Amino acid sequence: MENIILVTFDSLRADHTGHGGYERNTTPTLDEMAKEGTIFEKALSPASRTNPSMAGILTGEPMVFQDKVSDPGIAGKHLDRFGTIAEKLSDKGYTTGAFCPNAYASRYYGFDSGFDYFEDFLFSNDIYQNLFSEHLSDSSLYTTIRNVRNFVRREEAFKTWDTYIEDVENWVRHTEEPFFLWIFSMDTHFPYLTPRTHREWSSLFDQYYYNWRCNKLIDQFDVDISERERQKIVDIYDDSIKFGDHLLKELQSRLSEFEPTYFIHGDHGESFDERGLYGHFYPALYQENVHVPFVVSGPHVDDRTVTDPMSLLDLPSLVMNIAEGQDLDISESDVAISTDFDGRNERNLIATRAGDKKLLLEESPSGTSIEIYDLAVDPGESDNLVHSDRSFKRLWSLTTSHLRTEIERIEIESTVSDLEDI
Amino acid sequence: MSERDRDPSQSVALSEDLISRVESRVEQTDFDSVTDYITYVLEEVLYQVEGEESDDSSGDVNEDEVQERLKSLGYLNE
Repeated sequence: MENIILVTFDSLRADHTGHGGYERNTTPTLDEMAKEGTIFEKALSPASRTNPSMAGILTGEPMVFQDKVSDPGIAGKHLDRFGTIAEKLSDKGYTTGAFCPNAYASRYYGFDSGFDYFEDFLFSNDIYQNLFSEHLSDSSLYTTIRNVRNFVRREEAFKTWDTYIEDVENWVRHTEEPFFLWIFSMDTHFPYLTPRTHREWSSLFDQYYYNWRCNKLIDQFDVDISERERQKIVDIYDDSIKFGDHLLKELQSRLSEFEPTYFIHGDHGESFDERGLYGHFYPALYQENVHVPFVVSGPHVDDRTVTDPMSLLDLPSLVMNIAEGQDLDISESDVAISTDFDGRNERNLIATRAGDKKLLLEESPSGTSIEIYDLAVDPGESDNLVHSDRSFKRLWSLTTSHLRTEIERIEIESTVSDLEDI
Repeated sequence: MSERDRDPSQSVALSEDLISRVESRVEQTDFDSVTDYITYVLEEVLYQVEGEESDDSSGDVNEDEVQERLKSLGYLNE
């Protein structure tokens, strides 16, 4: 059975990769792997944030919820109820391990399910932490100082791949094959941090200043900054992607003798003022939020480009194809659906892509809004066709069917959960 | 859903009335078939009733610690 490595890049947009058409050479290693393997040009993440997106990617089932994702019970139940790809591979005899510094995909949320080894760097025995906790009463000051400390020490949310790549290699070398390894790279997640030797488009000053600047913008609507400043923020993001790409080069170099098959993807995208927002704090399902790179590369993977839309909910079944010694069984469907629920504002979101047409539905206490775009001529999703004379019967049908499925699942789950009280 | 297709199965007899009620719900949703829907409901029931939980390692995590980590991701969106 093949060794399999799943590499997740946080906040990585497809249109910022070389093979995705970006003008900068941000992903030379990934591009090379894409050339030799199978590229999914129109891969959509299941959601616009790590927690619901990865819960869907690891199980193959969309996480349906109407609450805040910060509640660990939601992802925890979802992962346990549907079972993860790690559990399925473990049942087949795989040894499973993960290195995941994103707290939203940590054991606290049940993401260790099925992993023999799960390093989420959640605990720090750092004496500084106790010192700060005792002596600082202002929590925002504490968080700021902690962030500065963590940035300098490359810890916690700022844990860059170079600080744990040795551990990854050690785990692989001391593990029984076949293995399934999940590596989650925070390197492409805000703040965009890149060691000096890997920076190409930004200086050290740019990195500190524009991360600080971006931090002021995250959580803001209708941001109005100069194009120059916006570009500087994009520059530090692009450098972080280049650095993240280097992780792939290191993995290939260190682990080549194990001949793994790589599944490489982004967990969701990132906004850079397409609609007055930065980051991914505000759930939305536009292309900048959900169009992610997805490449499969390995000794038995065909050189192929899949041009139909697909959802990363299909990732587990593709992994199983490789685990079972089969070719990738790629669906012939051209439909991909992404969903999310904004618990803070009670907004339920569904985005349905069928071919090059896309419908975005938003339900909230203030009403329902529909947007329809033709991505073939309007990739930036600016010309809403909902009031045009064109019929989008198929999109409507797919969307309403999915919405009813969500409602049905929630009703079933809430009815059944009452059984616990009997 | 395709995983389910691979599991060995047995037939179960259900009343036509019950099947009909399920059919009318299935046709408005993404469930592929009556079998799919009924299997989903039963799995949900059994999951709750059996109280199946994997090793709950979230119990050994300090919640305050996690909240701080989430904040240090640049936002705590919810």
